[in-house]
Amino acid sequence: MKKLKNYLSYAFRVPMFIVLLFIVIVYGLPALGKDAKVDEYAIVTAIGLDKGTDEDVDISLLTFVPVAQQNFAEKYKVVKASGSSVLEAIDYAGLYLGREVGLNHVKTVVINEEYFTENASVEMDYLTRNKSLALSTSVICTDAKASDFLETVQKMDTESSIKVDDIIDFNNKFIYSTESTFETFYKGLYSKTKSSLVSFISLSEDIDEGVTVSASGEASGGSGDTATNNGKETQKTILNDGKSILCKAASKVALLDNTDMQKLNLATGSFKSGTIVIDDFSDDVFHNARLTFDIQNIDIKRKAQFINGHPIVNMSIKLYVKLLEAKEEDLEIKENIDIKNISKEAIDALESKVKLSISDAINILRENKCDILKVYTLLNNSHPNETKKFMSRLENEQDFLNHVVFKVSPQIYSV
Amino acid sequence: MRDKTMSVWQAGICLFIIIFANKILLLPSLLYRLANIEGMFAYLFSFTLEIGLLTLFIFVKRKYTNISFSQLVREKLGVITLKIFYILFCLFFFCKLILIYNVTYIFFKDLIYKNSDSFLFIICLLPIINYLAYSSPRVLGRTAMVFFPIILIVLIFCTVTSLISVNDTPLFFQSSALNVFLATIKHISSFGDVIFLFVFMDKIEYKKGDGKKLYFFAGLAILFVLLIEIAFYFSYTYTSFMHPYAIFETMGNIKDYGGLGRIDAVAVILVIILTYFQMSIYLKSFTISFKEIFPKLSINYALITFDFLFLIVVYLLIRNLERTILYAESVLPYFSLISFVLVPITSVIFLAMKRKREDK
Amino acid sequence: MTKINVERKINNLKREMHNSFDITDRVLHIGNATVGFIYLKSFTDNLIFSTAIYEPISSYKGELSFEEIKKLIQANDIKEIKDEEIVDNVIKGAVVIFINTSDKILSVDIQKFNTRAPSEPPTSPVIQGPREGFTEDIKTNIGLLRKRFFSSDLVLKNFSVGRKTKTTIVIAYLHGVADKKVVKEVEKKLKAIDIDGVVDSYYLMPYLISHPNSLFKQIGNTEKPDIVSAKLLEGRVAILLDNTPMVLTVPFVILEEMQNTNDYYTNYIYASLLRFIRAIGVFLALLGPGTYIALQLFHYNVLPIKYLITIADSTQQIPFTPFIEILFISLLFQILYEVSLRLPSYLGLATSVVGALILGDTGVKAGLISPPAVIVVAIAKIALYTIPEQSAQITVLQFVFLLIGASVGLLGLIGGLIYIIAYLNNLENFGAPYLAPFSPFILSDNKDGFVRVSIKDMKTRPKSFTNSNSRRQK
Repeated sequence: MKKLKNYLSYAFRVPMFIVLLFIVIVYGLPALGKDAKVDEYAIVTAIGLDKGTDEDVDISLLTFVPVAQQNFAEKYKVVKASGSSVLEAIDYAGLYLGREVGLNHVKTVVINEEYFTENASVEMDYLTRNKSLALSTSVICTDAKASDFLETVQKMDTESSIKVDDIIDFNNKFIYSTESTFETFYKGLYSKTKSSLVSFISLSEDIDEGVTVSASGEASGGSGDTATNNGKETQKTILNDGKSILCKAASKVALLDNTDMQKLNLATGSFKSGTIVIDDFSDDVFHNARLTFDIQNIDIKRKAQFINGHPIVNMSIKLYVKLLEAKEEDLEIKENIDIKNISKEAIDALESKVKLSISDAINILRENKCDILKVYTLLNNSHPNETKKFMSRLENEQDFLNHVVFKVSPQIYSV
Repeated sequence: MRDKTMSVWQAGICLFIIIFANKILLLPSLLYRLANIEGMFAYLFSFTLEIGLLTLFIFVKRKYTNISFSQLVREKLGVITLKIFYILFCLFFFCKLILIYNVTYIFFKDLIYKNSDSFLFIICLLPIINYLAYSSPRVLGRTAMVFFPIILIVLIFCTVTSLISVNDTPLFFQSSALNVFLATIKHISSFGDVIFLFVFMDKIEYKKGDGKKLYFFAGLAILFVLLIEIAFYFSYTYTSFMHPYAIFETMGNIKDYGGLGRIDAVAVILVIILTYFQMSIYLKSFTISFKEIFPKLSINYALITFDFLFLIVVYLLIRNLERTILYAESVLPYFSLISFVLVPITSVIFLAMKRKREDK
Repeated sequence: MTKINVERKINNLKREMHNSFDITDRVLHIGNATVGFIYLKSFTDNLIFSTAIYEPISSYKGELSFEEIKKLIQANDIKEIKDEEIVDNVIKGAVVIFINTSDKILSVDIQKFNTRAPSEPPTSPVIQGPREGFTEDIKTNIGLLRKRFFSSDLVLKNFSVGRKTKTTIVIAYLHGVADKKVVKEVEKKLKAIDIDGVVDSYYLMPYLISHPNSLFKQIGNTEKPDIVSAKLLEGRVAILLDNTPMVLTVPFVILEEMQNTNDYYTNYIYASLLRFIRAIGVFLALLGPGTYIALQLFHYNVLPIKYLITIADSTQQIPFTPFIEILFISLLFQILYEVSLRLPSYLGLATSVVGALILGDTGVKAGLISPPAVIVVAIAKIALYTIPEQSAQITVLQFVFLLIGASVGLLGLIGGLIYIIAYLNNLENFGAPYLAPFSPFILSDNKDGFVRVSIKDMKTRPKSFTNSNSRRQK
């Protein structure tokens, strides 16, 4: 006993030893019986929001289900719950799962378009305040029920390597450049015109294009592939063709198709690749041909000025293009098929096309009183006093785009 | 052991670390709420004052190389003034410690520790900072020196990642000069950390020309802070107020970095390391100040007093983010008078006074 | 003229040495002279005794005197001793001779014992370079050092320690290079040792260091003469002890553990790469298991979904909680290691098979342990031996960090790391900071730190500790 006392007094001379002992006893011993967090939390990778009955919210959570296996297949489950708010519904979902709901790995939030008929940010509030959910999470609007959407996504994720996050990311990075996240949504909401863009993805049983998932869960690409199954055969197709909804004050004001989005992206210069098509083009080489040019690079410089109190935005656009496809009946394939130099007529036609596209895009924005191009920021940052005076003269500040003159000067270069 | 001094390099590294205190987490979003994007100017004004304070320190140190600040105050201004000074220093450092703890506690709880109690953080932080404060300044400086390359590399990584993910332009000129001034005053308590050098004055080995090293470290830290703020405001623009964890969230724009996953976890490690050292430096300053008030008591009493008061304040008075912000905006600015008014005035007085031979 | 009674003296001496069986005495009567010899037959060279001492004396014709005896003996190490030194000399392998006509006493060193030849020590194998190692005989060891310094600057000072064992200690240093204060301090500390016996150099360590109860090694040790020579050239002091091949060197800095003998006998760029890998190995060994368990128990949200899926799927059917699982695997590895150290070599293969199959394969297939945990612990245990000299310390710290990671997570791990570094910064022996040249940062010493520059560029001696002459080459 005396030896033990001596030894302990010797050991306790080192205060850190006491601290370590304390930590081990208070926290370490319970840790022996603690399960991994992944067993305590349900890992949610996607959330769906639908309007329920009587102002309720129906949520569906695409949850990862761990299975004892070693072939790295991923199993997901869609869990549905209802509540008077998103928070309540998620709590119920946790109750049904027998686990706490972990939102740290949510990559996509799918919202039924009904929410966008009113202020969608009201229901998104919990998801915004919850620090587990990153504000860089994608937000998608869909015409179908979000729960159906997630079930289709679940089948796609489980049975194939096609993932909806990859589809959205690819679209955002390379084609239509609609970065549609919580962050961009709220940035738009808190801007001067409260306008934002949200990606729109359809889910339907009647569409021929897109990624189709059958009832058996086998995903197939292209159109027309079906898989037979015992019993009723239902095919659903996810179609992401670059559409977006234009929102003002978090409610939908317009649905922009991919052509509109292309025009908008020309105006913002934010996409990384795309094409411009000229129809019925004739010059020395072509006759009534349809030419498709690949946009290799785009460089936009915008400069604002005020002339007699009126704002003018000069947009200088440099497009670097390459001829990709020429469709013409009886086109003679000349010796030099690799036409590097685009003719002057083609350049003129391209310039007109660009001007027209941008003009259309601006008209869309003017009609809906949305400033996706951040014209107000440009005006304010370069001429703050004049902008203030200009805005104060307007009857309705939201209409300011109608009073801004845009001068577009495209320059086309062949690559 | 306790009287061993630190070199200027080590003091510079401590200065580098302390400049990040309270500036890269909550402050940018708080400033945005008060002064929109022009909140950036609050940083510039405050940092200018800090550089001024640093300059005063270098001049005073150059003139009174081997004397402590307490000795100067005692000899030139009297014992009572000395006690008042160091009581204020104690309160100042104590309040800063509470502020750092609360802000980082909320940060860790939200991001990496779910459902963990406050006691877990206290049991991790307190023993380490007590040990570092108990050790000599040389040990503190050398330990900071070992971690400095890690801090620098991670900082460069965080800053570069934040800057390359900037893809927007904020809206300027939405706030008036008055708003910016008020924002600066309200959050002035997040600055003025250079004051610890005055408390450590006799514990830093100083030779002629060493001032440049201190300027270098201060300048580097200020540059990093400003770059992170710029990246933050340019990334989030209108939604800056929604992001309370600046350094973490600016990196969050890059979702998945190849196979490594969430690279913003690196920012968490950086904040953890910085928090430990910032709290240690403040606690060391607190203990030195405590000893000046009660010279007959040993350092153990200072540490026990601090631990006791800390637990009471954290558990009973300050329990959540809103209270922390309220306390930071209402009470703390008064304590900053110490660093931005009291100490500069006394430094100027010491500089103007004639130096006795024995003071050299 | 009879001055002493030889037989009585011999009997008294035998009694003083407790009549040990190997004490041998001879009495020779030549004329009026009686010569007594006393020695230990187990420890002396009987051939030299017979041919060089006994024979010349016994065949002398004439009046034998003390001075005559001195001339007759054909040996090198002859000295006159005092009465009280007889027992010491006999114990140390000398034959003590006295004559009845004189009270002077003669001692002739004819010590002989079996020792092994210098061979490569198992603790420091090299791919290229010298393979000599110290042995248990201090004279051999001194010889190995001497042949590397054909210079009078190599100073050797000897004394003994241990009341019962009276073990010989030799301090070696280079005059004009080593700091005299360090030499004096070492001498002072060694002379102050009051112990009954010293069996190995590890017995001396606690007396030489400032924190004897610390986990961390504070004295350098090696079995290789080339390493000792290199350290002497840097300004260190070496301590050689009889009956042990382990030579101690002071002052010690942790950088010495990062440096391996092979680094200096190979290309410096390759050596620099190896040092980085060693540092990464240490980091992995220390923090690997702790970080893994912290991520599982506290910070799952930091892990990307793909890793989470792998870990979640692998741990589904495991009956143990994550902490118990990883503790279990760590203990199993440690047991395997202990067993492999002590098993005869012909059973080594069986152990490897048992370990690999049972731990690595069957355990996973049976669902007792999960593959990620096995991988993490295996990597940590293997990485431990990137610096084998610190394996004991890193093993203990590995378990400590595992406990901390499981208890309080990442905050505790980083706090623990800061504490260890601060603690090491507090250690200082013979004026050398433990973490030098990293802390305090000494640029010139870092030429042989995490990187190794060419030998031509190492122009100065290390500044991590004091020495008398910092310049090595122009």
